[in-house]
Amino acid sequence: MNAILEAKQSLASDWVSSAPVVSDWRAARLEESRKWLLAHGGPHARDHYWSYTDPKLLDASTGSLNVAMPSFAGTAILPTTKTSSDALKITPIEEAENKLFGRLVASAHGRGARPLAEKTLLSAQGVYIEVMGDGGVLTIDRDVWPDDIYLGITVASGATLTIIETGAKSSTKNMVVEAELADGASFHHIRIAAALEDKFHAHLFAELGANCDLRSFSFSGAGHLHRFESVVDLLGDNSHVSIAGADLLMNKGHQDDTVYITHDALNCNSRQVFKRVVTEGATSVFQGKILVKEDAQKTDGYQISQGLMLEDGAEILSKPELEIYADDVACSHGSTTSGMDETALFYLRSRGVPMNEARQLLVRAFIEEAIEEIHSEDLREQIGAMSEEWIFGQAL
Amino acid sequence: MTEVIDNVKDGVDSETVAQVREVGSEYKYGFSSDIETEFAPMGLSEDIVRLISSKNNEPEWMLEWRLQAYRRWLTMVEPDWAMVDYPKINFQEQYYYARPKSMDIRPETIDDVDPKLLETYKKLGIPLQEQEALLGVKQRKVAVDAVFDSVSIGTTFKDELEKAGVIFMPISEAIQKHPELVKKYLGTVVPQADNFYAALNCAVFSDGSFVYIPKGTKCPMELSTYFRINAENTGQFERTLIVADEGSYVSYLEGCTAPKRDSAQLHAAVVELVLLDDAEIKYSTVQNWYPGDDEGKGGIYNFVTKRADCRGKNSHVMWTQVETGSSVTWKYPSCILRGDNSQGEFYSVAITNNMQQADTGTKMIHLGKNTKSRIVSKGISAGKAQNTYRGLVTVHPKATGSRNFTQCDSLLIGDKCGAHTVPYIEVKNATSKVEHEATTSKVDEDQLFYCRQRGIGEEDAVALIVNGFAKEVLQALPMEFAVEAQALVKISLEGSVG
Repeated sequence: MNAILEAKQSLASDWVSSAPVVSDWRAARLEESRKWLLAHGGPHARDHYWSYTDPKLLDASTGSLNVAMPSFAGTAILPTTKTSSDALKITPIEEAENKLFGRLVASAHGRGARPLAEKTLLSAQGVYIEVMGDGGVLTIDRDVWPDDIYLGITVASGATLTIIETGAKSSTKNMVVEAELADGASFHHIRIAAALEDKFHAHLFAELGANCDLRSFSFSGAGHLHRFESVVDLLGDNSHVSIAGADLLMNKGHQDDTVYITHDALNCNSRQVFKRVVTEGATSVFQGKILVKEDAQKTDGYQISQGLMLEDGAEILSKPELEIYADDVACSHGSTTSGMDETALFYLRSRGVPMNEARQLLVRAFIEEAIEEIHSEDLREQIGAMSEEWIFGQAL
Repeated sequence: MTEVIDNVKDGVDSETVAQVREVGSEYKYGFSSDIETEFAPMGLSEDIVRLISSKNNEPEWMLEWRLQAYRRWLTMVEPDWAMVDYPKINFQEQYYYARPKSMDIRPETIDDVDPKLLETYKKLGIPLQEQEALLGVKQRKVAVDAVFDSVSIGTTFKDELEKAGVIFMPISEAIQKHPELVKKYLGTVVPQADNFYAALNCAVFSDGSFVYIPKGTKCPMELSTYFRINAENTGQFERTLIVADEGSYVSYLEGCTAPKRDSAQLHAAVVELVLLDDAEIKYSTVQNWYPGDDEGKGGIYNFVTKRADCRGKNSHVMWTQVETGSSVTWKYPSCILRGDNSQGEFYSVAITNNMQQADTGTKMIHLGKNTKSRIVSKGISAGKAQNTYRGLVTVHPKATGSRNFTQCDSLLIGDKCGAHTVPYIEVKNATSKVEHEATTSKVDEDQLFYCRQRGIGEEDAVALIVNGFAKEVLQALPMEFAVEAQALVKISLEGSVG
């Protein structure tokens, strides 16, 4: 056991020593990250929470294949972006102290250590985004953002914001998003990741007040290692959260979707919807958890993870978990894994649809439920079209 | 049921609530018997392992096997991943061997057993006499092996079973009489270093049952073992080994109870099942160890490793468990589906009440082609209890055409308890199909359609589908052993939380 901790700590001490120099106020917070990392260490294959994704994949080398990315309408932001209006204020993190920085990361450790989030805090450049009204759509292109990314987002009561992340080139960037939603706030988050060489580890931490709406959707087209973690705390009554993903792992790669939703208020509704398609050499991991605390009565928790394995030689690994302490709740989780539905295939073939096209159609239909989770019709259509282009370009 | 029960949400069946309350209200088997008992010195060491081995008059190879396990155990760490919380066990403050004095010389027949011991079983309602059929009334025969603390006090219907070629005897006796069979199979399903508690069991197990069903034989009666812990501060470490040779069938039951004591007691058993081609084993458990009092004082720590190895083609194993006792349960009866077309089934009803904690479930390991498994688990939590289903379904790359269906439901009665589900699902080939479902709304659409089409209302149809086969299994438990289980059949999971 001690040998494992030593290995973890030695990994973490490398991270700590190579962290860049930052402004004074941030250095004070980062001292906490350093201390935490040196005490707890980095991830290890023996950590329960990493049993399906070997952290060694974070260092391994990769192949090279990239895909075309659609362009989304919105205001592009960079670590240097500085802007201020009635509805939206963006400030680089180096310029002003903000208590949000690292707060949600630290609080999430209580539900499983997240060393890569601390590591990202150490090295990331980023901005605070304060939303007071209609914040519109902001886009982040990871191809032009040079560093690990940090976003600290505060959405005021009644305000709304949409963020779309894209990036086609390979990267080894990591990302931390911390989002605080005041009562009645909405935040929508879309992530498109499709570069085969990616070793991309992204975290979304969110804390919701009452009557909030949080939706996060990710599309993963490939990726040497993608690990997307979402940690959401429902602290106010009547809020809604949806974390969804469509993963099309057609070119090997390893995708890990890890979700931890905590219900700590009345009458909240949470959804986890993940659709995963794999071909030979690919691994898809889903670790979802719904924690319902004692006072979170009338919770409605829904979790579905479905895997479609198109060829042998792939792996679909799932851990859909429930931890429930309130008695008047409805939580369901379903998880299925299978090959292509032969009956549906036969139906299409008998109507003259060629084999490859029939399989493409069925794959497209399979991921629809996840795409449905996207809040805006325009974006749903755009991402639907993108996934079609991606699917119909593959020989299935 | 007119009693008004507070703190229960609408939609939960009142009969179920009353039933769960009753199960949790008073422990009926909490008496202790005043039996003169001989203990091994307290604590655990190589000397104790040697002592247990010599008490059982074991051959050298068996002692070596135990010592090997003990040395491995010393290097192992107690598992802490289960969702249970209990004070650290001091393994040096336990007795590892306790034998009624009267058992110094093993009695030839049940009639020679100390009447006081027989009285205990009579009180528990366990038939140890080979009753003849009375007045032409056909009575179902059940052969019983009665294990009292560390020793088996006797086995019934030995002769009749022998005629059929079935070996059913205490494992301590089997080590003497059938060393070739024991040597061939012991530890091949659960290896010595499988886990912390299994290793401990390998080192110190004192008795348990051994069953061998020869080729093509259908065991002529139900076999059962009844475990009773009586002595204080004593751990019970039994070992059961059942080998079903080609084309054979056996149904085996186990029951267990213990006196009410203020201090917790350890029970770490290992059960190994071996199934060759076309063999079938039905293994049922009614676990009713003392659960501790309302405040969680006392009770049994039930840390058990049970595993079936379907080595042969077309073999079939079925685990059924009704778990109502123990203060802490850590138990995952598993199936290794190695033979092509082999099948594993796991049906569990776990009820926790007061301060009880249960972390239980199964593992279905699909290795052979076209292997099938089905898991039905129902967890019910009341009082301040915590009930966790933990299960693994893994389908290996070569296990093509395999199928798993899992259904877990949990129900909370009151707002101070917890119900948790931790499934692990690993699929590594494209021709297998695995489904995990946890609510009535996710019932198979086709089945639902079929019922609806025949005029059955949606709710009734769902109840029929979800509860249907679990009820069937519970009802299949022999009456002698399953008074509690029979009553539990009434429990419905309407209002389940997921």
